[in-house]
Amino acid sequence: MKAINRIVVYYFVIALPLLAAAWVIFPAFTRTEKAVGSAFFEWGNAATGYLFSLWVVTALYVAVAVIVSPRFREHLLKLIARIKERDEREAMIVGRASRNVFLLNVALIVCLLIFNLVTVHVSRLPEGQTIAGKERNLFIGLNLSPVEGTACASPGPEGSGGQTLFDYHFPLSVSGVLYLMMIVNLGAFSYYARRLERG
Amino acid sequence: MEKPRPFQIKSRLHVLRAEKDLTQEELGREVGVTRATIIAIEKGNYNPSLELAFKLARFFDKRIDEIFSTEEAT
Repeated sequence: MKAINRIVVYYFVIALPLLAAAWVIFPAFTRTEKAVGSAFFEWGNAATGYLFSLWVVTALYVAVAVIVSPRFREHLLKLIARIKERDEREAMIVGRASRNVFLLNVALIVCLLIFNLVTVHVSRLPEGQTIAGKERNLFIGLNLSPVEGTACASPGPEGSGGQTLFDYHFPLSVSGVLYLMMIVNLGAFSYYARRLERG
Repeated sequence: MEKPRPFQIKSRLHVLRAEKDLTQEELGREVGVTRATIIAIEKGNYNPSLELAFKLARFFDKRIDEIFSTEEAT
């Protein structure tokens, strides 16, 4: 059981950033001309899918095990931070690293929320529709919709017939945000704990 | 308000340990801490808690101020 836990924890932590990179690289390449007929990119794409499916299974195992098993929590802590909270100094390190990660999380969540609320659209007005000599239109929107499907229709430039010069909407999906936060949490905790451990 | 300078605690732990011919791991085991903690104390990278300071003093049969001394960090 100990060996299984060790393998699961290793795969869960190490695969996270690698899968994110593979997920971006292989699908992106298979959409380009370079990849047409390229078995390597097709294989990479398929392998990424299987590895990700396996990661989802390990993630589920980790989520349950972290809640029910104190020994598993030690395994995870040991892999991420290389410490086990065996004595007062290691407990202090874990405490300080947790504090730093908490503050980083607050900053990250606030930034993500603001980037999600804001939309920016710059468009060139159609011929003959300039306003006071101005040709371009800047639209900045703030939209807070806590529940899906309740967002107000933005009174934006849609349908104006103008040419869009710049358009910003929050690019990440819910899965992307959660994945990003997971990587940042694990990476930041590992970084702070190891830095404190080195003194 | 200016941030107070941290206290730098110097220890004679490595000397006392050598007198008793103990490794860092053995000393750590005696007082209930890891080898890494003993190393950190000897290097001055970690200030032990009062409890740990008392344990070390009792182990070496010394007073705390005979093992640890303080100076304001520059």
